[in-house]
Amino acid sequence: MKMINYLFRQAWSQLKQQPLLTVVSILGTALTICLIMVMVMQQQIKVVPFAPESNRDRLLHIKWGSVNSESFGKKYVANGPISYKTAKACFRGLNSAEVVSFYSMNLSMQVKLPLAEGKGVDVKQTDASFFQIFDFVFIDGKPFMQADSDAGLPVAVITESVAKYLFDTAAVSGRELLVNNVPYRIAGVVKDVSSLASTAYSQVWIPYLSTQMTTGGQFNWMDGHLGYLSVVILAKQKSDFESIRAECDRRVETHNKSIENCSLFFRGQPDNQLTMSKHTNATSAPDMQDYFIHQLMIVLILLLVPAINLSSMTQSRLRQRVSEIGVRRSFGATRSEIMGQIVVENLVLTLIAAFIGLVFCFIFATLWGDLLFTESSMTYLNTAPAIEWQMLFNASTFIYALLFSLLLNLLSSGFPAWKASKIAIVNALTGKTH
Amino acid sequence: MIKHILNRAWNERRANFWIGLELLLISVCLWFAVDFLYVKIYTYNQPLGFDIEHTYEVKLDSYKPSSYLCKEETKKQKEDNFNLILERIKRDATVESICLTKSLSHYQRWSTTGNISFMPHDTINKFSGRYYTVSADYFNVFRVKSKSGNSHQSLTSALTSGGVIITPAAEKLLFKDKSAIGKMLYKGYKSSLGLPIKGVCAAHRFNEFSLPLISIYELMKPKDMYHSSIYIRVKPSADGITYAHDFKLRMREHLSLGNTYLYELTSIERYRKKDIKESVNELQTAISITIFFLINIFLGILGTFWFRTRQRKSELGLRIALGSNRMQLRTLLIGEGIILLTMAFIPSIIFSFNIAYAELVDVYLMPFSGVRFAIGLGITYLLLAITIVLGIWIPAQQAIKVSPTEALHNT
Repeated sequence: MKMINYLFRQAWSQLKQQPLLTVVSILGTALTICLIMVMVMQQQIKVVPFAPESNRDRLLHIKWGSVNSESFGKKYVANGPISYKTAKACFRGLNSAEVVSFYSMNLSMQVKLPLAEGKGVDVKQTDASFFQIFDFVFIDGKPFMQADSDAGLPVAVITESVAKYLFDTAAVSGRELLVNNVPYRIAGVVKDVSSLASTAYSQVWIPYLSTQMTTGGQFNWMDGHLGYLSVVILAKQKSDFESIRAECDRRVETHNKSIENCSLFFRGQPDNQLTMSKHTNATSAPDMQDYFIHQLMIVLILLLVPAINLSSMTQSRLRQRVSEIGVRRSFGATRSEIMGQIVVENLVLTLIAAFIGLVFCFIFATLWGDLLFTESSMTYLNTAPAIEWQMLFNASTFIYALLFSLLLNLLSSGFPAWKASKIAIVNALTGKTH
Repeated sequence: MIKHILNRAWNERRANFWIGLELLLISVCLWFAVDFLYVKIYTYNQPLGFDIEHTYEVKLDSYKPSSYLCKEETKKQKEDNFNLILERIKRDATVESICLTKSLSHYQRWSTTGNISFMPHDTINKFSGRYYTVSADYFNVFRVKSKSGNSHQSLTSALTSGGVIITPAAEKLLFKDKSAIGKMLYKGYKSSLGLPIKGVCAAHRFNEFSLPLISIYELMKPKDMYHSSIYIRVKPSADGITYAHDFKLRMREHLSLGNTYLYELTSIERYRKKDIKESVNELQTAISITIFFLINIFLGILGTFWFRTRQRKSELGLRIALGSNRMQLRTLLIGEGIILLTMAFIPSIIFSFNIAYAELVDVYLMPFSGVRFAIGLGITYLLLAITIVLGIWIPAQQAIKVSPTEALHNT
């Protein structure tokens, strides 16, 4: 302990001797850590659980479906969200899952009170199970009931800002509003949802059976196989993913036997949260391996550049200190001790830099976070913050930063330290580097 | 001078190794980022083919049977109401022009594509193109010019005289370098129905980050009117941030006829912002990575030269004693940096070329060519050179301030 303390004190005084170089090294490293952290955050924001998507690590998604069809003697494939018919046949009541819910993509609809000015907001059509999967924060009232959504009753859950826009207060459960000029009873009011909660996000939630979504011609196509719905599955635990996938495959196979002239397939879905976030295209499954290699390459290059930088500076610093190393060696310091000293010196440097980098990252995200992280949306009225800070700056973020800086430290100081420790004592004493 | 610096650089090769390696690596990475930015910014600045300033989309909706406001309405009544609504919008004092389109919505991602060909029953020389159906005033509302730069009137009259209008990309595809005007165009799979081409409009692109589209414009038939998108151009003097809101308040009553009512008025600029957001984000990421590389090079050069000029104090003193002036010393130091850069840059070209040759760069928006490579390399070299000069300037300034006697004494 005393030894480590001594090493750190020594490193610190060394760094203080070269203030400019120390500042330059720290700034360069801090910048790297900051940039890599921003990258990590952009990645994490898609997978880190936060309310109302607190169960992200137990979720499986089927966003799109595809139909292989043969008509007029020509083969073709149609892709898109699926219909209620398909969703029901393939995914409702999976035995291996805890809850299954269907939801529509957000459609802009007008909300208003009779005789008042309306406003276009995002409306999601779903069922009662949706509120079991996602833990919305209810300010007033409660979610609509299974019986309500099964019967297609006109009930709605709305966000706080929609409630305040219409009624000037949030305590409005039980009252009525017009959604596209159809009266709906408000079952509950929830806190505004960040649009980064890509599955749960909306401003008004109503049962899909209360509209023409499940039956209307304009919402169902490809003989009613495709439509406007996606599926989200909550597993009891993560280890159930495989059995759920297997059950889905069986259900799809059975369903395909019952339909004529075409067959349904789901391009690797159910997806987990990360794969889903990359599955932006209905016509192809994302190549996750390719994606990881890509990310890894970027991080490596971002680490390599400052590592060379630091190496070069450590090398220059050591050139001035060869005689010091000579003296140490002749008084009995071993090579590994010399190496250790140099590595610790750099470690102090990178740790300081990592901390400053995190601060940079925090400032950066506060100032430009909206630009970097928000999903573009056309909505009015939404007041939910684009990023919930606590969800990004958690322990794992700090551990990542630390890990990257240690890696950077090893990359940058290992080689110069090894070289410095190999200089013959006589040469070192006279100040010769080789 | 250059030979002298080259000799010095060779003598210092061990010390220069790290900074040289960094310069080599950064040259390649920076070139990649610069090339990406160059292609994107070049594409962004190409003409779009239309002008969305002061334009809005008018969205109508109708009461559904489940609504208590829904009334009985015949098809005829509905169509009459629609026409009356259009008429009322057109007569509004703030509206300059109005048009209807089908499957053409700027910055929104839906469209109808199909085959086009220059011969009837042709199943070989057919190309995929976009079918747009527009009312005659479309070219006026979006200020679409003809290929030769004439105003929209020529296109409007060409369209109303029963012909179709195609984009230059379609013209090039179908008729190579010959003019398409007066030729016939065949639409659809195995189509026998020829359409006379009466005009070629200016190149039209989907958005700022896309290539010119292959598309044909046809005049909208009256029966198609009722399921089309409505766009208006507003007089510049009347337009403003609150225009959409004011319009809705003012026109709500007038535009509510039968089951049809005014749903929303949205400026095309809003759609544009949403549509290009992702590309803009990409651009910003590339810019920040470029800056990151430059700062790193700056810090690296600063650090390396800081030490080097200190160690060489006596050498620099000697040079002054032998008659070099301060200007010459600075040139010497900066020259060393530039030579170092050049020596690292030359091998980096081989790496960069291989990356480009393997088509790892964007070849969709712009084919890879010698000119593009040269421009990319030129900008990269210039950026690095400026950064290096800045990085050396500070330590050089410190080093040459020293008086020769003092410097010589130090040894």
